[in-house]
Amino acid sequence: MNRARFRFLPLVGNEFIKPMQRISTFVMFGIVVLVGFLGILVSSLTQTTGATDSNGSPLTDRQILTDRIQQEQQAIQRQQSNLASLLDKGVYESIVGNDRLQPTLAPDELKTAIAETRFVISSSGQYLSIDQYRLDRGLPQSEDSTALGYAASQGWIVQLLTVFAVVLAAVGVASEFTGGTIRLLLTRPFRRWKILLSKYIGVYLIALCLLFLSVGIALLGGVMLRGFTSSPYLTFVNGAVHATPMIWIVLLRFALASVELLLISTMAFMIASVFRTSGLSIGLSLFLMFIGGTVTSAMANLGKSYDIPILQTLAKFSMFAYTDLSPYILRRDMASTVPEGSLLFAVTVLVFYYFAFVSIAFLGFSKRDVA
Amino acid sequence: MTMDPVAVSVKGESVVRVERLVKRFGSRVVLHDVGFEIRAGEVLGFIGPNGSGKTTTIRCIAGLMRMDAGNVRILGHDVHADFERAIAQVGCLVENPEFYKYMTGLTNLKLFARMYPDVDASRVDQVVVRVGLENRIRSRVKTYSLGMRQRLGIAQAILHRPAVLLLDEPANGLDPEGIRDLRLLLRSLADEEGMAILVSSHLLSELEQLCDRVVVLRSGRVIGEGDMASMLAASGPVACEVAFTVGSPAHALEILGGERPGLSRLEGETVVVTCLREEVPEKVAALVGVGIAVLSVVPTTASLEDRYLQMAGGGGVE
Repeated sequence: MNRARFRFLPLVGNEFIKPMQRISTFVMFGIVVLVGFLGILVSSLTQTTGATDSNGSPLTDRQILTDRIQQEQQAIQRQQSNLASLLDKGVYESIVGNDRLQPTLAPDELKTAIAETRFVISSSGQYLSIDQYRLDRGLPQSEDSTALGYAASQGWIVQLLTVFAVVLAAVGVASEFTGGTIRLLLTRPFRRWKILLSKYIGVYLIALCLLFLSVGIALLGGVMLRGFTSSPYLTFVNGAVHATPMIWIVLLRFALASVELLLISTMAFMIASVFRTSGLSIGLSLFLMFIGGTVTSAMANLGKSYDIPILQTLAKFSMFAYTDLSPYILRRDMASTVPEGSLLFAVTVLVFYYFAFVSIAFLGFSKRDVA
Repeated sequence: MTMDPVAVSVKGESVVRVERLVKRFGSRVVLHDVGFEIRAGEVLGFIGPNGSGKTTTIRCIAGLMRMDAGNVRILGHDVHADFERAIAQVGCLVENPEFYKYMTGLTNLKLFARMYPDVDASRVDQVVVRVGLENRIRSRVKTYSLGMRQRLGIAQAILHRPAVLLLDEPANGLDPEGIRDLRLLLRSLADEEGMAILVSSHLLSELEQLCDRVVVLRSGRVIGEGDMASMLAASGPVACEVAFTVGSPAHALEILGGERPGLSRLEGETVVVTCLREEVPEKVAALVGVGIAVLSVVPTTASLEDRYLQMAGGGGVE
């Protein structure tokens, strides 16, 4: 007997169609459009004209850059003389720039002061190089003032999408149980894990639609507000200015924000699969999403201040310490604060949580009886 | 596109074989060694009072619940080891017919149709006509009556031409016309398409005209199984309750033997007597003989419990 082939793709199609027919999903799309355009409106109202010259006309990018380069050069000179006096006499002039002389420093304090001053000189030098690069090539004084800069600044919308993805995941699973339709679904020639996988993919197909929609509106908003202006994203890497196309930065910002979306909504999916109610799933997931980061950093700080190793360990392995990966990846220069631990460690922790959520979801869904 | 060709089962051939099924909820055993078979071309009545384990048995056959012991085979495929192939041959309606209420009946059916390779739009239309829903199929399910949802429930169950149809209390919520339509539909599915059909009910009367065979379940045990006709015959004289509405109830009660708990009592204007059907004429004669006006004589059915017991003891077992 030839084996019956029941195709998986139509199953995914069904799980896309079902939520798309719900009014709540329609409302989500409406809210994303509304919030996107509200953002554009607010930006256009609050957009400042920037600094002006003596005649009252706005400064050109060239003027701004020239001014800034001058300031940066002065700052570097000041710090260099500061460093010289440190090395020579062990006298420390505050790096903030006042001319008060500090008393002679103890040897280890002197060491730190020298290191700090060198760091400031080096990072000011990087800003200087980047601004010089802009001036030489006639680029805008900052990528933030371009159309794509606006789009990149709208990455926060993904947080809204996270809330929607949580609702889609929780309702998508739990409503089958509360509505009694689960019996119609599970008595089809597909093993339960396939049914659940199709639901899981369906949620992210819709989340992806919402994501594309918000990226689209952000790009449109950028063009509406700032015209077709663009500038590469400039970083200082290995002693040279490095240009990255700005569109990559826009996409990267949305993608990085989606890491949290994926993890939180997978958690919602897990809770809904195990407990079969949407309320608990939505409530718990969103609660953790909003307080998780705060609690984690509070634990880390308490653990450090009072030397409680268990709190430090908990904070170290908390998912919420790593849901925002942008500090690891979007480093403009070495002055940006870099969290402790490596990107590899952060990703490992996230992957571990992800697979734990998925495993529990599939076990909870597949193994239990359906009334 | 063709599915596993349903070896259009020879009438009478066993399609579903349930063997020594045991199911526990915690420490409570709800199914004790339940075993029976459903044969091609027959409608099997699955009778038992509420709580006897009918729905649990159906859930085990449909793979919704795991069994603690025993096995279920559908055309030879074990429902757990070979779930997809076994369940491809099953159409079922377990408990209330629930659908995605925010969609139309047709959209609902199309969702299920998409899960089978050989169910196309024309098959969906055909099934809709078959269950008599063609006028309302484009309305949202939330506007449907329970009877209409039952019809839609049957439609989704037969969409893929399964070899077995499992229906849990399908007559619930149907009006008399709906019950007649259901009976005709199930008969034709069994007789013409050779489907093996299991219909559960707690009302024996619902099944009398529909089923070829019955399996009687009580407290999680099969207590009787056999031909409908021979079972009815074998159950012998059946006691029933008869309500006599008469001119002078007190006098009538006296004539009929006086107040005897469980056998005869007074209920307002009527005297209710438990007796064999054959005894009814002589009781009427007795009443008329002493000049009591008999306004109506209404036999109610025998209590179900009694009939189950009689069947179990009446030799209706294979």
